[in-house]
Amino acid sequence: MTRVPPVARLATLLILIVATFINLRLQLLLAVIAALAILLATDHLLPKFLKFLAFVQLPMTVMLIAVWGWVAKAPPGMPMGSDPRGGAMFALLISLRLTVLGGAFQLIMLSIPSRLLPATLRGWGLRGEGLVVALGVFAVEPELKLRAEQILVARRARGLLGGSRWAGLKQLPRLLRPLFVWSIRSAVHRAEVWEQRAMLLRVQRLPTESLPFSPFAGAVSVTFSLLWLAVAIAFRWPGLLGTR
Amino acid sequence: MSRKSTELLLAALKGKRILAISGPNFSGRSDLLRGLCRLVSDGRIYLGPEVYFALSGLTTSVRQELELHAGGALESCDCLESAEQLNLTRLFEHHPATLSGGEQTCLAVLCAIILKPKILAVDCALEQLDSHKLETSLDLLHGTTGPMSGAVITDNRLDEWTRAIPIVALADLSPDPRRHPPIPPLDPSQIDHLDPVSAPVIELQNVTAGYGRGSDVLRGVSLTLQPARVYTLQGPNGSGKSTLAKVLSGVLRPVAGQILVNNVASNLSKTPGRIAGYHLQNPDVGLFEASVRAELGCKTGSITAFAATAIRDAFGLQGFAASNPLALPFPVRKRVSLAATIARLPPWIILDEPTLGADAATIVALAHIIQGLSRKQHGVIVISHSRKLLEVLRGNELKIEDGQVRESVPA
Repeated sequence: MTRVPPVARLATLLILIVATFINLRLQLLLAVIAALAILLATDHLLPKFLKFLAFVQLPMTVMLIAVWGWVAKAPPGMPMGSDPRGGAMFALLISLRLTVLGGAFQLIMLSIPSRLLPATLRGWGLRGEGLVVALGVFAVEPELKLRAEQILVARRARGLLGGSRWAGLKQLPRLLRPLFVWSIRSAVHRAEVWEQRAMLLRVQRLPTESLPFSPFAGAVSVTFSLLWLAVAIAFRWPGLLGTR
Repeated sequence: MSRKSTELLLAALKGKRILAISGPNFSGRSDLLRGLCRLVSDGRIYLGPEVYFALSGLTTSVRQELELHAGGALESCDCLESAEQLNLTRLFEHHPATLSGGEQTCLAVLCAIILKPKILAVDCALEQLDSHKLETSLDLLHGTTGPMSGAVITDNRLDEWTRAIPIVALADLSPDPRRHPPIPPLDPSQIDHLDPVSAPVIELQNVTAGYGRGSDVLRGVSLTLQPARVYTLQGPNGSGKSTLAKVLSGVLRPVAGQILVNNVASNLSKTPGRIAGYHLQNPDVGLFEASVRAELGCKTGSITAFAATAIRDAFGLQGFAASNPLALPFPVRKRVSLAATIARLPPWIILDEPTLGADAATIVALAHIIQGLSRKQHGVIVISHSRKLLEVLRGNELKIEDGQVRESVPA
């Protein structure tokens, strides 16, 4: 995915989103998740996807099934308690759709090499402050993570925290004060830095020459997403593509 | 600082490429430089002691940060040689936040120079640099061509610089009264009130450590550290000084080798900070509480309030007990962070760049505090580029280079 041009990348994401919402079949969603997992693995993003599944999707799925299959015992629009299995299947459908969207988002956004990030965002039409904000969003996650790690290191270094991961988890609330103050201080200092250095203009000028984008990779990416859209439409409205 | 001070400063800078301002802590040097860049921001850049904030926060690699400032591909701009001189080329693919303090300073200085500002105000930002990088940075500041008319520098190590640079005293620029109330000096005699501790002998045997596969910073280090001594750990920026401190404090687990504490093999990472407390360079990541009183541990009950009070007074923090540590000026935050590490009375104390933001008088007093701790049987390891501190301490020297540590005892 790293060589997919910006426009094809965005088109792929949009088509994937539309197709996912059209589709009602659990089996198809599972097949798409498997395909996404393979693509994510080729871009070395599988660990992030698995983390997303374990820490976000799994708890959410359990909650959705509990609400629709056990509390409401019916899918939306049906009388409560009339169809527990239908309620659980509805929860599963929502959960799998969100999994596909999460995976697609990770594949499209996280596979952008940092060197090509400004060019890709510019290719999506972002300019001026919008471009700066988008770049900041990409840069802030690793920075926040590093800062949080430094704070945990500082607590350990002062003997305020054990060495285990569980001890680290228990200390998460303790991270908040220094992290919050750091965010505010960072924002204040950087506002000054950006103004003094005319950062808005500089971001526009980031190099774009000889970017290794491949139109072929873009075509393949869009074709596969269109294929998924066609399958979703064919199963949702069988007559529409003459497949009845 | 008044407009008049700024005008006096600009007049003093006229015809010079670099001008240094001398003055003690809390005398208003930072206010003057900030004011200089705030009044007419066009073409004037301020680079403060918290160098990391001088980077854009918009990039995920050193290369990209430089390209952002250069406004084009690095290969086509003239800063590649400067990057090489500052040893930044080997770090091009690293995230700016992962660099050591000295490396971040080099990057921040180079980014500022690339912009060719009319005036570059460097406020105590060069204190984390080793002597070679300091010389290189001054060379770059001096030799920058283009519309840059000059650099104004404040630094607490001015008297240690080998290069002759015109210096103007702050008192000559600022007839205004001081903005900050006087802050008490450090009081090393307070350390005499502490009880002695029993620090163990720490022995490293073929210790290898780093941050991930294939990136070992320390390679097969063997070293014996005796208690009740002061060790000074020296080496170029990015050579692994902080990594060794992390290993000794148990924050970082070695990938190979073993550590003996009083001749018993120990896993320090199970109880980090207990045998060796480690004060990090950046004070802001090590301040967690809402008041200085709580930060020094008076509330925890794990140490006596008596010891905490003695250390608070040793660092001149009497008047700040109720203050929020994170809201204090940088030099005071640094003092709070140092005091908080020492207040837990770990048998070994490791201080990473304790003199950042400290003026000459504070550095000498800090050296006396460290010697006082050593008299109380604490083992102390000091990482510093401050020649004044190292001269007063005259501790056993640990020199680190190419992943190896060698020890030498001063004559």
